[in-house]
Amino acid sequence: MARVVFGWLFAVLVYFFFNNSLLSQLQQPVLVYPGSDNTFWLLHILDVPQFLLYHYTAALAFDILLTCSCIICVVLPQQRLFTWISIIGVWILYIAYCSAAGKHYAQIGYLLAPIPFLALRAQKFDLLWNLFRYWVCFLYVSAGLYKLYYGGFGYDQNMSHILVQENAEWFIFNKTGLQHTVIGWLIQHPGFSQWLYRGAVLTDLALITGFFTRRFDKWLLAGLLAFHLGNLFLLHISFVEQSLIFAPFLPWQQWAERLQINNSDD
Amino acid sequence: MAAQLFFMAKGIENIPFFLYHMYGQVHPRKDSTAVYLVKTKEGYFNHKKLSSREQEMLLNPVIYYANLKKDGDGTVETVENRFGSVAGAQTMAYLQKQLGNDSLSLTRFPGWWGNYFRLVSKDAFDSVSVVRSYVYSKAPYHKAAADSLSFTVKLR
Repeated sequence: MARVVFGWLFAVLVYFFFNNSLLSQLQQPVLVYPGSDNTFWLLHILDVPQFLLYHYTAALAFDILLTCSCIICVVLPQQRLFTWISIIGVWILYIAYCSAAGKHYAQIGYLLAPIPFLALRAQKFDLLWNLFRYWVCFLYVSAGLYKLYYGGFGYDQNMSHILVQENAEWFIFNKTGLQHTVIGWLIQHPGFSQWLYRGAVLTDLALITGFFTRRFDKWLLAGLLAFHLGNLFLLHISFVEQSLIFAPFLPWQQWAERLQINNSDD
Repeated sequence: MAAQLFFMAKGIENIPFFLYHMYGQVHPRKDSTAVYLVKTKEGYFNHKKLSSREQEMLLNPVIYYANLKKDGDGTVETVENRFGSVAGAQTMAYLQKQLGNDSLSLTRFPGWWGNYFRLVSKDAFDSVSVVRSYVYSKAPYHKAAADSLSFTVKLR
């Protein structure tokens, strides 16, 4: 299991590399954006993101250390030192990247999934893995509740307006094609598009079942996948980094039994 | 859990206590949407063909830079609010230096942006400009004819 999750994390880092998003590839950004987040503030006061963003050699050493740690976690899942380094590394990468990009992103799956592997005993791992699962359920349920509370659910034109505003730049460069036709049609039919939005809210809220039972995990996984594919198609929101939130809904037990594996480290 | 609920009630994000409220608000109708574009000698550079990560790193800092130049980002005021009553003048100056962006950073921004653009665009432009414009909300979603210049950078 550790091998799969850290292999997945490694794939995310490779994706970052090929998309010029590792710290050493950012060309030493000059602006920082700590926002009003206290954790960002703490790291900026300690000069951590600035040091990595402004010094190419430090950023390169950080990228190499993080990537190698991740590979070591795949090859030697029993050790804990590089698990710690990988986890601290991805959190620092997230904070430094968001600070340089001028926006704090919600794509956080790759930050949460490796945490349970810090556990030294199987019982503790099970507890942390369940907590990770509850954390994901909570985030999506809260997303659904926010859409109810802030009025997005009830406003009958909301999705249509979101589509117009979020696709404004995209429309300049994309004048034809299936995706253009679908997005354009949804904008012109606000009633239908708003029901898509409400469907997404119901998918978010459906994750509340994850707190009580694992029986519907495959449906929750399918719902999450459909939700993110919909976001990708209609709003161009990639979910490569976020994809690790699918991990707690995968049938690990069945796979382990099939492969006759007992230890979560394996 | 208590901390998560506390920060949700306060409406402040403090990672790892994330607030997932994106797209939750009512989006009122707008006649047009502001956009930032990269203008080259051959027309507008299609940044939408880049990956999400590259688009984020290329154009979000431009919005942040424009806001900083216009009104600041409120960091100075937030530092004052949070620490003004407990921190001395020296500490306040240090906090503002660590958490804010000085005029030198703003001056150097177009140069940094040009370097990152050169890396992701893989095209050899002599110089490019970043402009702000609008896209109308009515089909066929045309861009307004007028652009306002943010900055121009020489790439060669």
